[in-house]
Amino acid sequence: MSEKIFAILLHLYPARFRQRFQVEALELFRARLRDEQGARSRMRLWMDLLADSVVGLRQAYRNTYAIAASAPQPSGVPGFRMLEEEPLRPGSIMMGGIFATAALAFFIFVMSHAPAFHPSWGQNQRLRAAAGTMSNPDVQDVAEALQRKFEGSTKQRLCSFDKLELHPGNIGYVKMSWFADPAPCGDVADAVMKRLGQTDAVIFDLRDAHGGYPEMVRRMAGWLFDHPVAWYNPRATSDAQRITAPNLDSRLAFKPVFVLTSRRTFSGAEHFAYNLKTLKRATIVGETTSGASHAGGGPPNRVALSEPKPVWEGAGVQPDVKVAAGDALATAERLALQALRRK
Amino acid sequence: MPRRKLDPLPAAAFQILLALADGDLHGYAIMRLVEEQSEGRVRLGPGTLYSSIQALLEEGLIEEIESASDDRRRLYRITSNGRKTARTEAERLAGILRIARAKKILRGEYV
Repeated sequence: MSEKIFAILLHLYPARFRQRFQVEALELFRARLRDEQGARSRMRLWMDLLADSVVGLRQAYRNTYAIAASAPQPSGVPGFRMLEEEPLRPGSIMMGGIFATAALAFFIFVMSHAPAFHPSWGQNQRLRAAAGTMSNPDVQDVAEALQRKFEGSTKQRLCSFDKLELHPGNIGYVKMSWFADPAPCGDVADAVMKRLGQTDAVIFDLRDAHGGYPEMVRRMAGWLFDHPVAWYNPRATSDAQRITAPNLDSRLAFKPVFVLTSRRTFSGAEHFAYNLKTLKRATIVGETTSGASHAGGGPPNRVALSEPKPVWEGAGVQPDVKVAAGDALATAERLALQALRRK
Repeated sequence: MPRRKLDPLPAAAFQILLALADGDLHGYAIMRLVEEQSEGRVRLGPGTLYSSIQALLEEGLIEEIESASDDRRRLYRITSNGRKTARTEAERLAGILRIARAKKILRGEYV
């Protein structure tokens, strides 16, 4: 055992030193082991060896191990000594090794003490730690619920439901930037509308909405009525798309609805605002919309041909309550509270 | 010109030169003799011992000789250069010793 440790210690020395002296050094070590018995002597032996490596290593790396290795110079040929021809001194290699080890140690330290450098890793660690150490099932349920909520809100955001909030007076507030493709986002839209059913009034903030899928517009509108209504749809490809589909889960049918608009409100969002205004289902609060229609239409198709020009094109949708876009939310909230008080 | 590794002469190298002054020895014997002549104060570990031997060989202060027996261990002999170096070092130390005596730091009880 001791011999093995010593052999490992010897590996710290330069290869040429080992090549030359390893056998002798091992023999010397064995002789000392034999001569110096007892715990005290052994202790002293190892202390000696440690001190020895400090002194001996330095000396060992300073030696060149090349007594008769002078290169023969052919006479008559001028010799040029170049930097690369000089063999790397063992001392330099050792210094390089020490610096590399120190740098690696520093790197490891930073990585293990600063999770900010690797946020997902740190988070997983924390989650795993939380799951592992907390045996209390209630706590685990809470953790899972939080995780689900996190995933849910991410999906909401991906489906362009930027905000879903409860404002004072049990007013639901939803901010949308886009009416997303109903194929992946229909469920999310339904969930949002169902949640809004628990409120007393709803504000759709479309001030920054720049359009979207007509089918999504129609799907969301369906939640606002308890019966099918004729739906103006310049993009309709069938009669079914000119009528809304009421939703049995909906509890929104008779609640006050406000739509916030701005000059930037665009295309599909104008579609939503125009219909709800015409049907007198919502109060439009804010600025006249941009009056767009065909923007982003892509190649002409049957959809575009069914109604070449939506009625709001050029003119935009006029608000019922004209205020600056920045004041629209406060105004709508005030109006909603008034409407609820009247009930 | 490579720098001189043994200038100043390290204590371990000086002890090895002194040990070899009496006759040719192999590594382990050098170590034991050094321990003996220093009354146990200097114990050369294998690393110090062999790296010093290597340095002395490279500087030409000792030389390696063929062992008479079929023993694998190498024998080392001090060269005339080595003797000269050891004497210079001893004189240097003697000089320091004289100063120490003159300053009454070292009393008569030592040598």
